[in-house]
Amino acid sequence: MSIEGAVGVGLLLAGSFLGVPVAVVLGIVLVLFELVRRVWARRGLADIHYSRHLGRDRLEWGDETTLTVSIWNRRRLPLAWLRADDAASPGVVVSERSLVLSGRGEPVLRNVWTLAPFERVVREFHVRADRRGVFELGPVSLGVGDLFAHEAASEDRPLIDRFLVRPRTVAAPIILEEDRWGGEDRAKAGLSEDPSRFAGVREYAPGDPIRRIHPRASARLGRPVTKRFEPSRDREVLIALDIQTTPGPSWGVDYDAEAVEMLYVTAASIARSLLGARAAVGLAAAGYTGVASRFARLPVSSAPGQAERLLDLLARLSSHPSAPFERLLGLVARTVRPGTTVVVLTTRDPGPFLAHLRGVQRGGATVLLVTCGPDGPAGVARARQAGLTARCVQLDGPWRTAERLAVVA
Amino acid sequence: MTTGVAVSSIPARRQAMTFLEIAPVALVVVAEAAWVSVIGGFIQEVRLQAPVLGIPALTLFVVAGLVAARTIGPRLGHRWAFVGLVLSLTAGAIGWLASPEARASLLAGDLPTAIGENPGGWVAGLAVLRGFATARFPLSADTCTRMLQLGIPGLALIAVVGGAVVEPWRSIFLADTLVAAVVFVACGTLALAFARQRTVAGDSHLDWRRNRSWLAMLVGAVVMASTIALVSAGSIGTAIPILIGIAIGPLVILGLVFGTNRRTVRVVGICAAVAVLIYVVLTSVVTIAPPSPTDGTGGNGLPPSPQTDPSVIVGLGGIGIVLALVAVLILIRLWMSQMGPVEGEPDEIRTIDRGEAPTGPGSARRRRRHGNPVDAMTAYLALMDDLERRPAIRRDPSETPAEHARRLRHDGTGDLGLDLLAADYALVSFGGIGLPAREDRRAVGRWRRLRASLGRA
Repeated sequence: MSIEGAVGVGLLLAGSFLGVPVAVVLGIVLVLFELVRRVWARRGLADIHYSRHLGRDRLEWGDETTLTVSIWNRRRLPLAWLRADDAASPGVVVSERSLVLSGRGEPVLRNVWTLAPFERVVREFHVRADRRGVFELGPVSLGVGDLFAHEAASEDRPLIDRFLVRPRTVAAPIILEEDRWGGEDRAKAGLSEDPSRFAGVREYAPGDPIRRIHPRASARLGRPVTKRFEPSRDREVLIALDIQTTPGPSWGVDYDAEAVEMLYVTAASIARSLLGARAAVGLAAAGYTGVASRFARLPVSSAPGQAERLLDLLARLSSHPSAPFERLLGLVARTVRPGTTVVVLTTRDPGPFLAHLRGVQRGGATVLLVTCGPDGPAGVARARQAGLTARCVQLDGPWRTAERLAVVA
Repeated sequence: MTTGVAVSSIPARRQAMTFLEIAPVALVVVAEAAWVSVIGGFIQEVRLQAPVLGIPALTLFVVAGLVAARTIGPRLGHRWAFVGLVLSLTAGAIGWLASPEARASLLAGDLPTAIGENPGGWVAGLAVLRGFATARFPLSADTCTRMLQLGIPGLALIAVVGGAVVEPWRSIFLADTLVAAVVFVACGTLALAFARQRTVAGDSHLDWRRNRSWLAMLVGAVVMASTIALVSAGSIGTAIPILIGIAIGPLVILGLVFGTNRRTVRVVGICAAVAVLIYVVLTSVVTIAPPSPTDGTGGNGLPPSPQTDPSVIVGLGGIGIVLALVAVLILIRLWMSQMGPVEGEPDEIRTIDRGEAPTGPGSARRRRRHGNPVDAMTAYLALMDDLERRPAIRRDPSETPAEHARRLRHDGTGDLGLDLLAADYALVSFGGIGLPAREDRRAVGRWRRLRASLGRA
């Protein structure tokens, strides 16, 4: 029994024994109010249906999607108010509403309705993708008021929606050199092959170039056979992303948020341009992605959907490194296939990890150092002094408004 | 029914917000006037004089204080405290001089006698002061809660003390207090409900005018509770002492039979002692004697005893309250029509969706009315009927019986019995296969067991 109910009973008893009708009337009114409250409180949130739906779960930076919130009072009783607090991870922006702080001190999207019996209300909001990352809405905390608008019940429901905001991409040049063995036209017809790596013979097929016919084997077998070669791996690219943007140990907590986002925009733009040029692209980075491993890896592939997978991984990556970049390069050196081009993308001076880059080269891969940021040209010069191929790329403005990525050195 | 809501202009929205904020304030103003009138009436009763200022007059004073605080207060800054005090004293003097006897004595130059006349009129100053307190918009729910928490026991206490005064002042005072108490509780409760709703909404736009069923039910509940209390107060007030007197003996015997520990005895003893003490103090010690004929500062003399029975006065007062509430409803209705369309949230669609048959206690009652299941099919349906009120374990509309049983088993709430019962149901319902009698008996047994086990879950 609530305090009001207890006071009501007390007034009723006191008024009855003392013969004071005012106290009896007040007591009866309070007791009746208490009974009415109990009718509402008894059902709690049993017949309240709450649902939330995001229009898309993957957004490009700057996009907007719909957020539909639906509430349904399936009772015969009206509700003075019903409050739904959707917990929102930091960075969630709802166009029509400002997030408020809940009692637990976390930002929530608060919706309050007053509902008639069997009334269903559907509200549509718009969620803006202003920051790269993984964002969550939920769980939802529901509270309901009784007839006198006093909180009758509250409940947490594990209803969670996640969405990714991929980094922004801009037009970018193809930073790789032209295909040495035939160029674009050849690749459209089939796999680009490396003629220095003989792989056997096959039956002649109409249309095969005459110069591909293996004369000695054809003579021995008595029928024409054509030479086969290993496919060229010049267009297999693994982007090794150096997330660290400030000098010092990787476990330092400081990071330049703008530089990190610029790096991600650059990486996403380069990856997209490479995939657009039919290269097989993969990604490796020493960053957290919400899984147990400290290294994020996406195998090299040119399969359909690879661009989306790569951008999703870039969206999930943390803004601060999970391990030293040198360790990532060591891992790349051990696992990368010979012939693959490793594009090392960094904003830092490459001096501390030049030796590791040479290690990757010794493993048979081609290393291309790509620097960006204000110290990019100096880093390129240092890498070239060490005998590595290097480029410096720059956005033509701040990463939020830039239109192009250009090779400047 | 679908209601598409258009987005209205910003001035209209501001106007609607102002209206929504003023409505609870108006109710609080009346409630404040009600409890202040009880204090004024009590002072007059102690002086053995009839009250001069009623609830309507005091309402005007509260409104005057509110308007002054909202218009003059912000302009005066820190000087407002002094001006407010002067205004309160002025209002008190006006209330005091509302009595013709006080005015006559003052004009006659008899200041001591004039001061003794209508001392309850000075509560008009208190009413103005309370008007200052309600001037902050939007009204806080805490303000209303405090008003009710202090006001209800306070009114009861004043009524108890005022009941010790001799007749006929006692009856007049109690009748007035009864009306004021009901007005206070009714207006205070309504204002509290609106203020709570406003507090919960925060920056969100929550318009109670769109939920007319809630509004009607709220006002109806307050009116019904007030009416029931007024009608039944006499009988209940008489019956409770009799019932407790009858029941106390058997209860004591039962307590002795079934055993009571020392702590219980001590608590009961303390409660009884406190109750007796309060009763003795309030009925014996606080007795206000009538003034002697030679008492110079006395009141207006003993008026003739009231010709009307107090119960009739109370009844008439109750009818008056109901009529007043009806008038308020009509006024609100008029205001609502003047306010234009109800303001809605952008991109919001409201529908009345009755969906499937509502779940609730009725379904269990229906099953009980239909009796216990007799075969596998009715056993399964009866179990689903039992589970319908538990969102976590009830069957979703999109689930097959087998999927539902599997889900519960994986969750750890169900067991193989539910799978078998669901399989029986599927065979009979979807496959059209008749089950042997022993399988039906087993299904009913599973229903009984699952009902108990899932009920605990």
